[in-house]
Amino acid sequence: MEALLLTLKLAFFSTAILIIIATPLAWFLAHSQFKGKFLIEALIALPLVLPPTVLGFYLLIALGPQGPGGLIAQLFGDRTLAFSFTGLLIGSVIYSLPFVVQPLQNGFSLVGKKPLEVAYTLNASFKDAWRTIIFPLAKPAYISAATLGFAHTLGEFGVVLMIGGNIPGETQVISIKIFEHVEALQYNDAHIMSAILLGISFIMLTAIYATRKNANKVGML
Amino acid sequence: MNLDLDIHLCKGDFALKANISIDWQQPSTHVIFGKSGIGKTHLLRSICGLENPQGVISWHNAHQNELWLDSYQQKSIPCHKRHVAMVFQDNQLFTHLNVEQNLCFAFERSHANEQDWQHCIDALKLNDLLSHTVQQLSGGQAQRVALARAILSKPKLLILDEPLASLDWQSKQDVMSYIKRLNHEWQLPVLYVTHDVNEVLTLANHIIMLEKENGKTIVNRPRPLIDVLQDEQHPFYGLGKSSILVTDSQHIHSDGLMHCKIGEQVMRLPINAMNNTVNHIKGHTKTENPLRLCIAASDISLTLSAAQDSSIVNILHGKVSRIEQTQNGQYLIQLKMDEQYLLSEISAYSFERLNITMWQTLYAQIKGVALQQSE
Repeated sequence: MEALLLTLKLAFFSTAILIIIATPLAWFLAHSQFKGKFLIEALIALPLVLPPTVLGFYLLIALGPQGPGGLIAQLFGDRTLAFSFTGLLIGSVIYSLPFVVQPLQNGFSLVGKKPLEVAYTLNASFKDAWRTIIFPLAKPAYISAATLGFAHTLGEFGVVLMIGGNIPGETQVISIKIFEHVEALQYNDAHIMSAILLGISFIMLTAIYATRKNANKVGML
Repeated sequence: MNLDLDIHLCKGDFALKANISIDWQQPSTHVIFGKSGIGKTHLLRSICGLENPQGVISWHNAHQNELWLDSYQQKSIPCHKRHVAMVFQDNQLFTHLNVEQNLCFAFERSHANEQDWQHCIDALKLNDLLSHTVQQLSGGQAQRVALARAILSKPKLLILDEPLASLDWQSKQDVMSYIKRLNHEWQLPVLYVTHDVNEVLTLANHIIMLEKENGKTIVNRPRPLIDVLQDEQHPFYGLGKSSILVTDSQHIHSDGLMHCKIGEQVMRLPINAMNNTVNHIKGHTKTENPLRLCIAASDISLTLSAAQDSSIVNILHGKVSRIEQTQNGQYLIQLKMDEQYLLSEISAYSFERLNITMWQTLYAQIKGVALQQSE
């Protein structure tokens, strides 16, 4: 139970941080004329193809006592960011970044710059236009992005294994717990937890596809 | 009102240069004319602040002078503070809002009051559309809403970027009738972009031509339409000395003539003048499809009363809505009949003799008609 709650907490905070980071990033990728854009796109997409262990390994070094993460941790009187919830959160954010950026980028491309410009000509400021026009128009993209980011963080295993260790209540997420049960041949417990994860993921993906259909119906995207 | 432009815009291969002053003595319409792809839209975007060219843009009216752009001083007023409204070819209504909410978006961000709101809704006949979603609107209706939205934002300047280009003929006429009223009814100075000569003739007071010179787009200074039409060097030379009447309906009458209804008035045309169209009409003896009749200004003479003893069959009446003296000393008199206009060219001598004044009722004797095209 503790593992499930921790997993949900991790997924929730990761998604919140991701939405905040990904919004300007995705807007930039969707609309900028910058020539080196493809480099940033490739960089963001890396977690899609890299084995989680590779990502986890680099993160372990970066968050460890010798890495920049460790240096920051020392400012707060800690030795390392690895094997901590904060470290796990940083790992999740990087690991799930493409799952949030890409739907948002597609959404922003579909909405286009035009509604924003039209809003300007009707005396709306950038902030105003974003709140009243772009955000509502891109809402389906936000729902997809948040759901994918959340679901993907739930299912995280390799990265967590590398940088999280297995500390109950701190870094022991449900996927690791399942692995532990299986290794200990406690199939019953593994069954229950797997079923929970399967159920949550399925419900969330169903929600995405259902809203996508609705969005098409009103001709929004 | 005055808009001064001294700008230079470069985007990749495209370059545009404008050094002009656009002057609206009273609210009137300046048409920006040029081929597709010459950069009309870039010019507009520069004016309303969506592009940032090099140079200076300033706006003056009786009360204030505003510097919108001065790239030399790194100064640029953002688009939403210039108060320039724009209507686009593809209406660009916000699809997540219904008609009323679209209008409210502009209304809430301007100093328009309840009275402006009601006037606008009534004038553009939007009462029945308010609760519609944008997707339910026809092209013409959507453009009417876009027009209303722009009006409700109470702009200093209204820019229309080919607002009729994607409409069918019927909707074009409908939307056009509203556009014609912008200057007087809302006191709005208008910049109108088109590459359609008919729209120029119908709407323009002044015309601003865009031309390519050494691969660069040059914006020419505005000239009164009537000047341009008289200028033998200009591609529009002679175009303006004719008027186009659009019929409401027509049928073949028992007198053997085709009776064309134009508002409350009727024109009788010999069937042989109508060649192919008539064969088409004969089958039905009546049709609602409008015909466009092209009448040369020189084929219309004016009288103060309806002549009963004239050989001329077609006499229409209207009120004088424009008087222009042409370069060769003739006078062009425009008569307004309901929503349509007739242009007559008469000599200075006749003009003096009839003592023509604005809004006086005159009778136009029409000698010849050509069918321009059928719809």
